[in-house]
Amino acid sequence: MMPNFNPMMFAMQMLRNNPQVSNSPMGQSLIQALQSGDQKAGEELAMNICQSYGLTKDQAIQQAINGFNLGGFLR
Amino acid sequence: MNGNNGMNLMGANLQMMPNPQPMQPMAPQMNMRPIAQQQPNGAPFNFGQTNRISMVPGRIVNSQDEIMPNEVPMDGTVALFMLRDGSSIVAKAWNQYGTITTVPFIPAPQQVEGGGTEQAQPDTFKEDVLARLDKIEKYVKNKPYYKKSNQNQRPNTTNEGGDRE
Repeated sequence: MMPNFNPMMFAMQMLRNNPQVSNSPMGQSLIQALQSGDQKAGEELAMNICQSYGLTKDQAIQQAINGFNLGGFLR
Repeated sequence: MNGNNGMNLMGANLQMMPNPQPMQPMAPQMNMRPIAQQQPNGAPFNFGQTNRISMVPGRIVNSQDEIMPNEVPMDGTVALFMLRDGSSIVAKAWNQYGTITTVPFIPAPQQVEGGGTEQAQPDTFKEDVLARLDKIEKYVKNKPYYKKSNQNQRPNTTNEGGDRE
C-alpha cells in the first residue's frame, strides 16, 4: 500500500529516465507540455505526429487502445 | 524459438531470468536502428558487449514516396535515404513539433574553366607521362656521351666469371 503514490509523477519519471524520450527533441517537447500542463501544445504535438503517420485522430486512439490492451478497460 | 524446458537457443534459462526491461507498449513504428549481428573480429555476438558498430539509419530508395515514417528513428537521429539514381540524398529526422524535417542533399555540378560542367574525362595522366619520357629519351640519345657510352658497353655474359652488371 503506497498512499503517496502519484501515477502522473510516476509516468513523468519513467519518461525522463527513458533516454529515447529524454534525448529526442519531440520527447523533450512532450515532457515540457506535460509538466506545464499545456493541453493545447500536447494536442498539437499529437496531431502533428498523427499527420506524419497518415492517421486520423480516431485511428490513432484506436491503435493506442489496442496497443495498451485497454479495450476492456475503456468500455 | 524456445528450446526444451524454457531454454532458448543461447542456453539461458528463461524461467530463471528476470525481465530486465519494463513492459514496452506496442507502438506502430518499428525500431529501425540497425544492430551489428557480429563483432568486427568475427566472434559471435555476445550480449552486454559495448563495442557496437555505429551505423546510420536509412537505406537506398527508388523515390521519396517509398520512405515511411516508421523508418525514421523517434529519438531524433537523422536517417539518410539515398535515391537509387544518385540524384540526391534525403535526410529525415523528427523535430520538436512532432513532424519530420526533410532536407534533400543534391550533388552540385562541378564547373570547369571555360564554362560548362565537367564531363567524365579519360585518364590522360599515363599518356602524358609516357609522352614526356619519350621526349627525354630522344633528348638523351642525341647527346654525345650517350653514344660514346653505348660503344664502350660490353655485352652482358657470364663466361668471363665476373660479376654480372
